[in-house]
Amino acid sequence: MTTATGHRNADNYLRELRQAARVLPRSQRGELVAAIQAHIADGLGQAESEAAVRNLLDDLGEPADIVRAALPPGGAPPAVGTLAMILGLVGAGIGLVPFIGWWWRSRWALPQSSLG
Amino acid sequence: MDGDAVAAQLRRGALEFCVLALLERRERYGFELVRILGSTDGMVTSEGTVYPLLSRLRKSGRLTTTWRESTEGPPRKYYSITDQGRATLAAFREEWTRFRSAVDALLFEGGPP
Repeated sequence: MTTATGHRNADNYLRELRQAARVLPRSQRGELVAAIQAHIADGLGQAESEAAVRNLLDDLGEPADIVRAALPPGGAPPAVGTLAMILGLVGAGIGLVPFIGWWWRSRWALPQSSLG
Repeated sequence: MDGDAVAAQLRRGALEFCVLALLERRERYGFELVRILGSTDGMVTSEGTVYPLLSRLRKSGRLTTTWRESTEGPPRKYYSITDQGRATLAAFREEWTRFRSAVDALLFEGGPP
């Protein structure tokens, strides 16, 4: 969800939250961002000044702390992102190339005794 | 251990039950719920961290959620306690009463001679 709030500080906050929440599984990330976005929307509706908006965001706390609270105990990311998986597969494939080359050469190499 | 660390430990143990207690009489929407907790001395240091707790309570079956249209702006997500949540809250109340009495006896009366 990328709906702008119409308020620059709030939009920056949500952008930072989405960035920090990348370590979460997609469904959990979406739920968390939607909840915070709804909270901010309610808060902006009641805020009567710029200072009130800043207090709203300060009271929410740092996006990194919110995401940390959503992680399982131990703090390890519960899921590997799609991009990370693709990079892992590509890296594994690249790592296999020298091995395949060595195997191919060893398969077709002539034994010393057959040389003239 | 300083006061902040002590408070953090106590919060970790009690916050989810305080959330259930706030929903016991009626459903509340997220902003309302979080603001009550935020304005209660010592309950939360960062209001946003309540939302992951609400998510865990929902996944464990102790809360349900419903989106409703609002005349004051975008739709609101309302949180309601379930029967399982009420049972959890009742069990906590019983344990808390017993635990608080025991701790008070040791802290302020020094325990048995």
